[in-house]
Amino acid sequence: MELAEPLILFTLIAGLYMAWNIGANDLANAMGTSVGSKALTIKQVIILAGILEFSGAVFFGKRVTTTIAKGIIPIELIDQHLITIGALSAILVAGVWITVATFYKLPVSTTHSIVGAVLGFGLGLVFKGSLSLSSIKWFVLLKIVASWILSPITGGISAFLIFYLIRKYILETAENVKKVERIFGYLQIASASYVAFAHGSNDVANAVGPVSAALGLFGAEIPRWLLAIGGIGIVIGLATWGHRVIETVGERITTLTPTRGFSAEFGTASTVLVCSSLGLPISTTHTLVGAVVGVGLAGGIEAVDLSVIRKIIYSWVVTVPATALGSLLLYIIFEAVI
Amino acid sequence: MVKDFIRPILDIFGKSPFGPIYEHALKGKETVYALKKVVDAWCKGDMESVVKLAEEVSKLEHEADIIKQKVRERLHAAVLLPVDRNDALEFLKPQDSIADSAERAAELISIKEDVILTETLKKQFREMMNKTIECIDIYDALVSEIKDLLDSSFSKKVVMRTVEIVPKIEELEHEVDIIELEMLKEIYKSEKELGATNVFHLYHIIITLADVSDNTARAADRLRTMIYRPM
Repeated sequence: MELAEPLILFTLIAGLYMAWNIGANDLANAMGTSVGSKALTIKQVIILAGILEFSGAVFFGKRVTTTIAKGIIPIELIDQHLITIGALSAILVAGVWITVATFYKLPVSTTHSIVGAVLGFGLGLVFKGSLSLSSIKWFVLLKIVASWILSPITGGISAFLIFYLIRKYILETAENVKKVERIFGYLQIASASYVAFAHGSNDVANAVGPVSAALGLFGAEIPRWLLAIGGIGIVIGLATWGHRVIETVGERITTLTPTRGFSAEFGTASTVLVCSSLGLPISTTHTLVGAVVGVGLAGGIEAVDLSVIRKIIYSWVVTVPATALGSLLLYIIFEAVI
Repeated sequence: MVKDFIRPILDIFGKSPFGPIYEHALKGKETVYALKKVVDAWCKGDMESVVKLAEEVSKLEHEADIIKQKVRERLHAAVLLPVDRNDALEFLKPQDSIADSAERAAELISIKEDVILTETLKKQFREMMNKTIECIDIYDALVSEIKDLLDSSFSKKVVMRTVEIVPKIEELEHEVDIIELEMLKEIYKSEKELGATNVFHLYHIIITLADVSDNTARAADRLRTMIYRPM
């Protein structure tokens, strides 16, 4: 474990870029759903989300990070040098893919990108004869892919139920709906914090999973300080770029009143947190999209544009092969030259 | 620049059609108010104003059409609404016909300069127009409930409160029908005084004017279908 080694330093920098990206976009998107209620200012949202994202990453991020680092590829069987260049290829390809896809307005997920890229690294090992195809943990991969399909559905069902209950027991009987919304504006501070915490616990892995593999930490537990570095990277992303994203999202989702926002956030965060405890890397944003559809199905939102779902499915079907192929090629190149 | 680097996942939030639906209802109301001015000028025999005011009605109807297009765009096939999308489309049609029939009535009134109107008819036209205005005012109150319906996510209380407005509109529409029938009797009774051409002309104007409240009541009924659900 030599931090000063250039390869490891590069991997760390690439990991920080991933973290920055996650904070600037994913976390900011999720937080944007709670600024509409005006219970918090954007600055307050950033501070609160920063603290909880960091806590989620440090105290709850271990399991998913372990999955990304060594759950898919049995790195204990591989030479450390190969792991380091593989981790670097994976994280570079995932980072570039996310940046390009974002520019082209594809609703990609950092999670899908990194999982695809890690698989590509594994396939690179297979291609070079360093690993047998059957040693890749296909069952784990299958579980991950299944969780990608199930998490938006679970998020949707839980948000549907939460909003259904709010509607039946609160909105239906309330004398003054505006007052109810005002109260939920404050409750939304809690649900937004919950989302940030859950997000941190799941998404920090996308940045530090490959880094921890590069550091050769396969025997040991993922160290807290590494998760903390990932958490800090995400918070920096949120603070430097995220506020603009929050603002833009907040402007667009004026129809998401606090009762609806609370339902969607609560459903999302619960789903994500369960996945984190199972060590499953999922997309928080896709879960949130599922939750919004759930609230919409419960009659809570003026207009939900379902055409986005097709775009999401399309982009994740493209993301995994693209990042896998990219990382496979980059690994082969790196192995030849480094 | 910022927008270039935002992943558009929250595009899941569509543009609400309900704002423009209300805007469309208000434009329809404005058109009916403009039609009232046409009828008033016509009863005074001021054809010059009638022509000018009828153009104003036409302009407002065109503006209503533009809003209708916006609503249609937002009611695209992939949108999920708290109401049935087809119900919303079926409601939009008669609401749009309010402005259409108002425009048609104004046009018919403006095309014949040498119309003969008896004093009874003038009185009846004014009466019919006043009832129509009353009808459209209540209709406005009905459609403005949509906001509360959405906010409360269609709570039973608000749905009931809204649904209760509809019979008032239907009652006024019925009253207009009665006036319409009396007017038709009146023009046939005065056939000698008016002449066949005037009877023909007035017949169409009466029928079209009555259509305005007819369409209003139909839109109100469709709105009821859209929001009503057994609970």
